[in-house]
Amino acid sequence: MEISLILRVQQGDDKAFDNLIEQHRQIMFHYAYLVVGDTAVAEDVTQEAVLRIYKHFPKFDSSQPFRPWALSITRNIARNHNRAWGRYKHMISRFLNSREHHAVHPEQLTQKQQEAQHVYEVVCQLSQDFQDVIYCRYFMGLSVEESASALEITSGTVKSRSHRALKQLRRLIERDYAYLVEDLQNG
Amino acid sequence: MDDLFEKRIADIAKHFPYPPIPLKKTQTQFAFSRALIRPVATVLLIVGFIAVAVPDIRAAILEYFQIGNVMIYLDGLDPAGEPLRLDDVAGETDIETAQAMLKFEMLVPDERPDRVFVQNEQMVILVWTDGENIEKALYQNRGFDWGTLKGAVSNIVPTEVAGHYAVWLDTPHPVQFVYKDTVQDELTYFVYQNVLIWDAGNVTYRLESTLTMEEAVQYAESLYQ
Repeated sequence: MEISLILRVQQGDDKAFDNLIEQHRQIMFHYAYLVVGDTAVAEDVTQEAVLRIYKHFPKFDSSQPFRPWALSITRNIARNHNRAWGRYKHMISRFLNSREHHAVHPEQLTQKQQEAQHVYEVVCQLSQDFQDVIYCRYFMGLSVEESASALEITSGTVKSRSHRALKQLRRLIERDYAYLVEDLQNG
Repeated sequence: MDDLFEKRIADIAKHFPYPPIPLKKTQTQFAFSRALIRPVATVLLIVGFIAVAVPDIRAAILEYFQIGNVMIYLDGLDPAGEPLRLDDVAGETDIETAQAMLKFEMLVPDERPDRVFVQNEQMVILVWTDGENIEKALYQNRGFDWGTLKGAVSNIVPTEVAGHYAVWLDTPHPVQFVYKDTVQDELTYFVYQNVLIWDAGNVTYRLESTLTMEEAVQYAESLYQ
């Protein structure tokens, strides 16, 4: 199904492009949001990624899955937004709009969502590489192979990096939000 | 047990409360309209930069920037003031005790600090001296209830530390710490050194030193290795 859409896009069918993007836009936005932590910026990142995908589609290898490629583009743009020029824009927009980092208010969250929010807060303390592998593997549920493609590293690196990231994450969670793993400590 | 932890994280993370995607426009239509809008946005940002560079306009447009729980005020610049007096700072301890007291895991540099201070279990200050003067001070602070740190500066350079949002301040400026709406007098001082601030989730770090921006960033990133 997806391959037929991809082939139509390669033949210049913009409607097929819209349909293809629609299938992946949510996960692209989610990844962008995890990286930048701001709804408006994540939206900008997602749209910029759509533009870049459109522009570079002729270079896309249709024998490869589309999702990791789209996510790798989204990731690069999101990370760039966290650099010099993007940071100024982000800082100014954060100041002008509101000073809240997250669009979701804690009091509106279910217990499960609060737990996830706490894990996210801790993940944000990790290095960028560790954050990326945790987002891909656990927040977005990508396979090792998909994560490797999205992060442009080998599957072996995904596994070793995940292992080290989880080790560091566990230490921080036990320190900051021990309730999330109390039963594991005893078991 | 590691497998159980991994499964726990996977189970929890799938419940992350993402905000809804705001836009419903057709992708290509939207993408191309964005392409047309972009030059306009760029001009506005350039105006923003110019405005920030001119003191009068700068103060009118932006009163402050915020990074983590640090508020950086862009006006009210004082020319000089008293530097930090370490002997006035309460909560002196050693690095091992500091970690046990803190409510978060601190970054521990290889080079052992000469003096260590813990404030309200929410902030640790690691200080290196030449015997008399402060050579380097690393503040690590967690929690919105700790309060704000503010200073007036004339120049802010955005940068990053290990992928975390950061700013660089290289002009002398006053600093003030507030805890539960109370100004901490012993931590109200004038910093003459360069300052690197970065926000890593719920912990905000602030490094005072004579290092250049590149050196300071390199030093900060070494704390994560």
